[in-house]
Amino acid sequence: MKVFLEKEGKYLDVEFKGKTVPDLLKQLNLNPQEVVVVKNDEIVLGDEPMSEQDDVKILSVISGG
Amino acid sequence: MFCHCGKKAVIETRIGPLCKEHFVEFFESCVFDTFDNFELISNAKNIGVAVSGGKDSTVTLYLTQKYVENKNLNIEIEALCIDEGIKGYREYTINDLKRVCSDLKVPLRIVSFKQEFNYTLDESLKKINTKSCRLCGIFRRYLLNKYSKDYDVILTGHNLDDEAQSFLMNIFNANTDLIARQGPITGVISSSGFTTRAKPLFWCREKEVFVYSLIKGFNLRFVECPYASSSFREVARTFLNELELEDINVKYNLINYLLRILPDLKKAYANGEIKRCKICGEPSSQEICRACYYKKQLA
Ligand SMILES: [Zn+2]
Ligand SMILES: [Zn+2]
Repeated sequence: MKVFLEKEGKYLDVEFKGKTVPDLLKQLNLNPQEVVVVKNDEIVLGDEPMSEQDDVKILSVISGG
Repeated sequence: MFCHCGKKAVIETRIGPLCKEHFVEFFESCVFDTFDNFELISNAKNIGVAVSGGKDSTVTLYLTQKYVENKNLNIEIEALCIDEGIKGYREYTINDLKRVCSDLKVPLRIVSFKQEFNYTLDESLKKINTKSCRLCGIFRRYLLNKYSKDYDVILTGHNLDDEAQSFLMNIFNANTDLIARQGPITGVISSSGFTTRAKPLFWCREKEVFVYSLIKGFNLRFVECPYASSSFREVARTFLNELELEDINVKYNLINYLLRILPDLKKAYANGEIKRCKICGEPSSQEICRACYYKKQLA
């Protein structure tokens, strides 16, 4: 799965082992309070299913002032 | 995860998961209630909003204007930006800022390190041997104090996370006097030397501010200050966010506790004369304030 990680400004190639948003964040070791996951231009959370075909961006909540 | 209305949720809040529409409603009433309950701008005729081009100050500016319009208040609003002169960072955020201010039709005033101190932050750091964030903080505070005087109230974009982190850090450093200066309206000494500072986003979690700015389409780019380094604040942030995974109320509880002890702390630190810097006259604990001390080194 291609995941755009905003903080790093690059795409990651993730071999996604889970099914949902929390699974993905866990796999990438990201705290859900500190990021927002955008799937096909919609903010998603919780049990939202994720798959290979989705366009996934992970935005960083934290930025300077 | 679904909102109480049945639509897909975009964020979890302390009142449960919410959809876009219900979250916007929740967030705005949170901010407007803060204005009302703490009387952030009552009696003010002109307000300065300290802005940086980041999400917090942009949301603050936007909702301050909305609040003033909703209430039909006769108040002038100006955006005040401090340009430190950090290459690869500030020029981008200032561009975003100019766009936002012109969209909102709010006048933007930019004061810079260069024009005030003759050197940008980047240049100053070559002449002064101190940590970048420390020097930047001292100079920023100095300029904010100086230009705050032109307004009845200055609003800043500090959110619940900032406030909770500061509280923890102040506890760990045993800085009780600094805790006394926390809260939605700051400045223990309300009379001379300080313009009232207020924080409309006081009850908003950082993630909520971010999601709100996304929904509103402010289109702010993600840029990190090149001087950003891991600091004590980062540790406090990570710690609080990990606790928040267990209980979404931890930051609220911490800040409610702060508000409970704050009146006594403010009383305890209220007397005592304000010492002033011999050079600039700004409040300072030493004869010469740190800003003037460093300014001398630059001269
Ligand atoms: Zn809803
Ligand atoms: Zn001074």
